[in-house]
Amino acid sequence: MTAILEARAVTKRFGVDGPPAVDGLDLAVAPGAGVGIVGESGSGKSTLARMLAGVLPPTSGEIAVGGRPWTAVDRRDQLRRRVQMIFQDPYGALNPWLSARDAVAEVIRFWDRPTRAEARERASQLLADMGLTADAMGRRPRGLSGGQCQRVGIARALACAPDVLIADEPTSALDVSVQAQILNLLVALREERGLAIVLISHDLAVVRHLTEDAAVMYAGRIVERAPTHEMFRSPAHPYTRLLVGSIPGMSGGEARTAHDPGVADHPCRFAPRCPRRADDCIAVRSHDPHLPGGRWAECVHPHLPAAAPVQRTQTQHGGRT
Amino acid sequence: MTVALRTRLDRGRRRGASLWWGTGVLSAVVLLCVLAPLLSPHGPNEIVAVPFSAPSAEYPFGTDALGRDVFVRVWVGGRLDLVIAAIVVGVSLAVGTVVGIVSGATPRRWLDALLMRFVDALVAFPFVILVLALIVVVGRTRSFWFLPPGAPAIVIASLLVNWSIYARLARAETMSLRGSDHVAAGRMLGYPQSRIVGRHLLPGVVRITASYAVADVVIVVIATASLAFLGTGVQAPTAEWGSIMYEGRAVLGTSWWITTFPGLVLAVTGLAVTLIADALLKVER
Amino acid sequence: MTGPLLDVRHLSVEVAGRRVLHDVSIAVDVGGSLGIVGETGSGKSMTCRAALGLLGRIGGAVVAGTATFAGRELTALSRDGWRAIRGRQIGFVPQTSMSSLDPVMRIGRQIEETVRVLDPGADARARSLELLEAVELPRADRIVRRHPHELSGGMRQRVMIALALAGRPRLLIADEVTTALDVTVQRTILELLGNLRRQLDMALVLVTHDLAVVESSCETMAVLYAGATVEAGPAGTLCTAPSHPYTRALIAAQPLLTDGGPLASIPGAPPEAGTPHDGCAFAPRCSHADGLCLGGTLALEPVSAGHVVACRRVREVVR
Ligand SMILES: Nc1ncnc2c1ncn2[C@@H]1O[C@H](COP(=O)(O)OP(=O)(O)OP(=O)(O)O)[C@@H](O)[C@H]1O
Ligand SMILES: Nc1ncnc2c1ncn2[C@@H]1O[C@H](COP(=O)(O)OP(=O)(O)OP(=O)(O)O)[C@@H](O)[C@H]1O
Ligand code: SF4
Ligand code: SF4
Ligand SMILES: [Mg+2]
Ligand SMILES: [Mg+2]
Repeated sequence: MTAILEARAVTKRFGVDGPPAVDGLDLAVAPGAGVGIVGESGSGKSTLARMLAGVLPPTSGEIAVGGRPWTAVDRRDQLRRRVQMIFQDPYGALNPWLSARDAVAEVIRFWDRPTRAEARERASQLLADMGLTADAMGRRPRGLSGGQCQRVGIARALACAPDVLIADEPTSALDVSVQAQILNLLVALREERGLAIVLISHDLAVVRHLTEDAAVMYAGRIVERAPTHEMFRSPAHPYTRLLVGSIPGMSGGEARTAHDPGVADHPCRFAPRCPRRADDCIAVRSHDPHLPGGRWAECVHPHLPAAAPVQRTQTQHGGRT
Repeated sequence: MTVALRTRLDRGRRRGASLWWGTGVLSAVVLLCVLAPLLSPHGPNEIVAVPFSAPSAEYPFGTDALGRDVFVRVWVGGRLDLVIAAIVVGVSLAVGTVVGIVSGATPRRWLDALLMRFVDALVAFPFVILVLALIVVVGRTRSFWFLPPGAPAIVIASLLVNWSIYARLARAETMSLRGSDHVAAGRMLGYPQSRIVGRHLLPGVVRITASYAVADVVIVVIATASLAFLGTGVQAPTAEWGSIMYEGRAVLGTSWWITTFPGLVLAVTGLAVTLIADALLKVER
Repeated sequence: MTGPLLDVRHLSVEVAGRRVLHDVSIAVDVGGSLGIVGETGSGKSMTCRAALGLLGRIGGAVVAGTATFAGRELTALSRDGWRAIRGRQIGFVPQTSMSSLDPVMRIGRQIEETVRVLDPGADARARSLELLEAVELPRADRIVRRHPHELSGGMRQRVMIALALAGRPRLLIADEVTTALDVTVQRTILELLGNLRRQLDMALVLVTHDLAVVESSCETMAVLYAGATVEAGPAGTLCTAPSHPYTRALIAAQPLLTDGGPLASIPGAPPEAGTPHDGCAFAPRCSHADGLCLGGTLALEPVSAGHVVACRRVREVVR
């Protein structure tokens, strides 16, 4: 199956000094696939998402959508609407001067050219599906709660009937109950319409729920790729291990050392914090990332999948009913 | 929240009152400019009484050196001042905002550079010299449409210089909005540049330039009046706040009313407009 | 001093004629920590705004109830009174923190300006670098030269936390501070806040929807539903043995790493804040509801030491 969205060796550099925000990264999203991206804050996830959505041009490399590079896609091309993104900042992504309903209706009118009344009708319906009340729909972002704004952003993206949804922390402002509603909705869209999802989230439970494949980013690079459940069961890269071990309620994470993903001159950006670092780690970029069992990690001394899984302490929510 | 923002919010609570006062006083001035001359039995250039009569019940602001009613002249003059301000500010606002947005939003660097170089040159140009030069060109006695002699030069000169300030403001705001997520979202949704500019940038930019425009009214009114006061602006016998004060300046010691009343009205108008501008500029972005 | 540091009782707030809060009670002790949880739109952020006197800017006002801070009544405070409290006594990280930084000012200037006002004795430069390092921002010397849009979402959020800590407040109110942070940074920030609590005796109010965070970092917890407190008590008790049907449902809906299958959500939707209701607001969605739940107003009743619940059938529910 050919990829519907593909990043080939993309690099994004802001300014002239400092390490690139995204550094020579490859990623392919097949139609209907669910890809999760997790990683350190500031590791370049949102930058990658913007490039995938075609709103930020890469410094080098190429993003192809349906086999064509973004640079060759005209603004009004129907391909444009097929890739949609949910932005990380729920307030910032909405036009402060438009009400929730108008923001969604604007997209519908733009792409489908229905009558004004019909567009409003459809927008109201979409927002109601997201659990927004009629009263809230008439308000501008400043009059909405964080979770309400986030749902407006999701409704606006879905109004385009996309084939690929790039979701940058889509449920971070939602409580568990509404989050469950939205996640169930996304699961249903994947099953019914074959929507592909690129999900960026620091909430590993959400990633696990919605995706089959996961990639871990660290300092602009993907350091590990694996089927989602295996990644959490037996993380191979030392950083993934740290990440999985830091989940509240999980134990087994190694003690954190100085946190400075930027300074490494080392080809392995994680080296300054890595407990397994050795002299031969310099060769990490030329080292074969393929591991036994179909796993993949950019690391010279990975934890082999057979290694002891991270222990989860089951003290949580003992009183679930 | 930064401190700047926080103090802005603290002041926000007074915003309602100053907006209310400003609008009230300004409406009173405008109303008087429109109504007072209509209700008065004589015109602004009519000789009605003995020269230099002190304020009385019949002539509340007294009479000037020719025996004209200062009260009528002040309000008739106010019309001219306010109309000039409205034209200058309105046109500057429109032109400046458009140029600023184009300059800030265009993907073509050279266009931005060109426009801004032009704007910088204008801002650097000495305003009074420009007016003097224009008066030489346009002529001191040339009138245009309803603008009396002297006024066209002022309007043209102010327009030439003034829009550039709006352009700078609009460009700065456009640049800051352009990086925001909701504009990126507009691009992602496939909106054409024109729609992004019109629906997603313009409202924010206009908020800034329009608030400045209110403050600018004061500047333009005072500039018009001071040019007349210096003798280079609107020419006699046309009534205008500055020209009335100019005519009364020699007798300030004895017939203080000729200069004082137009000056007072000018000050009150300025204050009212400043209150409004103050209230609007405090509005959170 | 006796009594809680921040004590909000039966607070009602109206915004644009709508009653968005109608009976919120929360309390946090000196050096204590309180987690506020609740469905989106339940009024968590509005409660924070009320405790900081920030309702005026959105056209809201306290219409009933009291809020005291260190024994001082807040609802009657003058503007100058607020200025002495906001930032210096109570630090605030708003939920909009990703978009609340001034977009045209460099990070360094924004922090230095705040430090200069809130902490005039300090060397503004050194102190702002110190604050940025405290919130785990690597290479603070480079961050200060950036504009807000040049930072990632999580970085901006941490800058806002640094700003809120600038005045060395006695109470920090943090509205969804850890939402944009990956778990490793989240853990560090929570540890940092925990250390500050111990060292400076700083109290913490943490608004979040992440129950695991509340359980691991807060001593007490309050659950809001449709603008009212429905349950409050020790965090451990509420997470392991919740009493109110809404809290029970909320905890059951928590996605767990070990779970698969569709996620449990609470059926129905909460009433839009401001719609008047009779009796229990949760009744339409509550599996325990019966005729007893309708009519009148509910009050928080103690079920055990320090644990209060607003549910008329709580005895039957927990049984
Ligand atoms: N417009 C920009 N100009 C300069 N630097 C930028 C810009 N946008 C992002 N960066 C930098 O690029 C790096 C990656 O940022 P990005 O927003 O992609 O991180 P992220 O992985 O999404 O983090 P988070 O989880 O905190 O949202 C950061 O160091 C950030 O400072
Ligand atoms: N400026 C405003 N004007 C009118 N209503 C508002 C305003 N701001 C918020 N509201 C409404 O008040 C209610 C409570 O909002 P609040 O922001 O406190 O929710 P929240 O509990 O913080 O939710 P979230 O978890 O989504 O942030 C919501 O129904 C919201 O729509
Ligand atoms: S390559 Fe070496 S330093 Fe880098 S993560 Fe692997 S073990 Fe650690
Ligand atoms: S009072 Fe009744 S409806 Fe309300 S939560 Fe308790 S049992 Fe449910
Ligand atoms: Mg991000
Ligand atoms: Mg909130």
